[in-house]
Amino acid sequence: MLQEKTGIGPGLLFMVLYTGLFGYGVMQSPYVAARYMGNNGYWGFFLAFILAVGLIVLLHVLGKKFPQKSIIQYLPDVCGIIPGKILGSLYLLFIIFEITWTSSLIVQQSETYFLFRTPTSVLMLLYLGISAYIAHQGIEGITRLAAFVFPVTFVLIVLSVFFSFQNFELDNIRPIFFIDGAKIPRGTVQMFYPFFALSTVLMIHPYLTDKQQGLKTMLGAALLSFVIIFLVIISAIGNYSAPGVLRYGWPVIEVTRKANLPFLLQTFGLFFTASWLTLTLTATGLFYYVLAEGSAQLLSVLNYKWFTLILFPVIYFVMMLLFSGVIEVHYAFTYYRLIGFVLTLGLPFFVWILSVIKNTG
Amino acid sequence: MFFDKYLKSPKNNTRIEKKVSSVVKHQEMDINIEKTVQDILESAGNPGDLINHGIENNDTLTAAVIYLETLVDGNLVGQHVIEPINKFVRENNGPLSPGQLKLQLSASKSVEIDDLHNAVEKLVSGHALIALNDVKRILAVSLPGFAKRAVEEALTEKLIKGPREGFNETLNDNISMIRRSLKDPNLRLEKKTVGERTKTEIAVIYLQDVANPAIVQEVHKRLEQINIDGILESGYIAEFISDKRLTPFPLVQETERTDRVIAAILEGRVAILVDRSAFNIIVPATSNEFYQVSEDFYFNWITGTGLRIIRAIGTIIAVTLPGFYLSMVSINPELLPPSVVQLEAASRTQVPFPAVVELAITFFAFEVLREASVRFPTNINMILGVGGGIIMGLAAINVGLVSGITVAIVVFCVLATFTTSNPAKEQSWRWIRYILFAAGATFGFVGVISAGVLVLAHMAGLKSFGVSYLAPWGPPIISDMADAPVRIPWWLSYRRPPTYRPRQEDRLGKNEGEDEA
Repeated sequence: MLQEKTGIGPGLLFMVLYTGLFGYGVMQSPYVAARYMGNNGYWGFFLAFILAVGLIVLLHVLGKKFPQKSIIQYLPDVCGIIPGKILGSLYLLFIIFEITWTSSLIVQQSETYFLFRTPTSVLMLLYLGISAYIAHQGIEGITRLAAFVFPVTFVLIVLSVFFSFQNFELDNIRPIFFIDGAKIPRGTVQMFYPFFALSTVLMIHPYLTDKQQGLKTMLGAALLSFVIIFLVIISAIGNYSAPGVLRYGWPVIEVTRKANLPFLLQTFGLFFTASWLTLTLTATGLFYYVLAEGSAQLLSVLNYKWFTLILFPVIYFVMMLLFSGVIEVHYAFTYYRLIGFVLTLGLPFFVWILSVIKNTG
Repeated sequence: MFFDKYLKSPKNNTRIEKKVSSVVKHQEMDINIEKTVQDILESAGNPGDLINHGIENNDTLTAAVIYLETLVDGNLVGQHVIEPINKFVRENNGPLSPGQLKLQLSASKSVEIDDLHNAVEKLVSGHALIALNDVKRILAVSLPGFAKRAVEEALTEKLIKGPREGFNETLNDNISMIRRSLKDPNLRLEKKTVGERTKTEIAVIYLQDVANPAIVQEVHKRLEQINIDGILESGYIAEFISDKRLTPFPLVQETERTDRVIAAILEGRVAILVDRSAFNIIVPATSNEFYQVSEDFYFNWITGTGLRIIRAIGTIIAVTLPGFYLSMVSINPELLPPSVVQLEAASRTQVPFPAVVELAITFFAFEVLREASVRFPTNINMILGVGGGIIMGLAAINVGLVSGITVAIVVFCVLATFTTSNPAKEQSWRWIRYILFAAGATFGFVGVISAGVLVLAHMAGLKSFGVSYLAPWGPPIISDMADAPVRIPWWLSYRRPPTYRPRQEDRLGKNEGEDEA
């Protein structure tokens, strides 16, 4: 057999990151912006992007310090074996949270719009099963899938967002420069969640073949996702205003349904939903892979393929806990965005500081 | 994984020890010509079509010519072997040495053998064996004389414009067609024999200065590992050398068009020609390759582009339409405009079955019709195929078994499947369609999308000789991407597709590219 390539080029990294950033970030963004900041909630996302640039630089620096190692592998070197393992476990726990949260979003969205009679447990099984299969293809398979779906989904999403501006009212996004106390900074923390997907770089960076391009690639993917999500937020608030957005469970779907395609299909929302579903399933596959690969590295047993099977019931169980109304689980997930903000920014920063102090890497 | 050893091609470099099926022992030929002839006859089982022509001088057997009359041209043997030997014996009246024999023969393709096993193998492969008295070696002369099909138009890949000739089942004819078009001394041809009993000859053909040596080496390695009693068609080889076993998608390209093979060789790919098969193999193969037809390059590039886009859309429709139709009719009717819902509902009022059963019945009927029509005698194929289809379809609609929309969708899907330019790929889409069909019937619109992602994920995990099956889209190879949805004009196509990692990226060989695709 020819030597199996386990490397991904900058193009593949760009597309898989875009898939995660956009897929995981877009659906709740207008709701969160409107809820925490009101009509000018888009500023929170803008500020979150600036923070994300800092995170990207940090990820790049860590990638250069430990070019052949994932975070699970270099945490014990930097922090010591036991704290390193604990921090690694914490990182993987956060990834489980990410998968659970986003899968629950897909399930809820599907139940609301398409399959209201299908049991939730069956839908979860379907999505998790597909994500597990995607994860089973390995980093190359996942990134190639992301690259393949990118052109079509990108065009459809951009068209949906573009057409959704037809009922846009400038007054709805006003006042533009109104700073209401700590609303914007608090909202920024909440609006940082689309960039949680950057945390996967900590695991997949060793596979990047051209590490010099890492910074540009990550910045490019984050910028592209930022621009589209930003436009979605502007469009949603511009169409419905902040109180209007809060009336809808799925404002993004509602806003993309504004774009009509007469006589063929009722709305462009369908294309948008199909594209979002495709991207999110791919992104969940990436997160699942990161979790499986990380678990294999943390425990130093088996390989990621085995862990895609082993972790399946674990994730399914957590998802069922979330859906079956266990109050503690619901309570924990209300802090999801906050915990994610601290972990996504804090963990790389902490590791970097420690590695500088201890001169490791 | 535990199952990987069964589902993946062997990765290790250990050479599989082949079992030898032949009972003929490797032994030296006897110096006595009568014993030699006797050994050969016994080893070959003295078949009814074996001719043993002895040439005597003064009641002593001087030479013996042994051949199978069903494989060797008897006239040529008489003219180029027996006649010259007779003449020599008459004129010289003495023993015949191998050197003298060679001088007398006017056949150009001969080989000396001193092993009984090899001699019998040559005999059953269509050689005439010449044994001489007091000589341990025998001479095998190739004078083939068997029935073969003439060069005809490729039946499965017909074109409006382009060369008409397609491969036939004779390896040397196929090689000659390639050589006639590719007059390059860098063209390398390496022959092998595969199949313990069929001894099928295969030829590996590539351009030495263009094809990636790693791929060529890999081709040889995988061919060496084939361990089977018989190869009857190139499909056997294709299945053996594919990177992954558990997939419906073809991971090598099989074609019966000569121009397609030549174009592939020029791109830096490797052709594997198989004797007794009109379909020959090209590796590596990407999914994109199955949507390109030679004709794209013979017409104007704008026409070529249009045709490619129609082909791609046709395939997407053929695969996804039943699933989407079913999902929108039975689970998500709210996604359709009210006028379409009314039309659909009106057409199904008399149909007793749910949409999923109705569509399944109609598809099954068409599959039966399709399978049967392939085996109809040619003269009644058209009448039974088309007539039967129309009558059966109309009757089913009239009695209210199925609706007109369902029949229209099924017929359109079946026709659209054939826009794929390769029979193997078309077959794989045919079965994938039913996965999406089932997903649409179970989970509606969401099911079709999810199943689509699943299929794409499967394709993303595939490789053909180390090349991604989804290339040039995944991984994105920008320079090659331009030639995927559109047919890039010849005046812009000065580079070879980097997807196949050619040694020379420039078509005219001005510079050497790096192996980094």
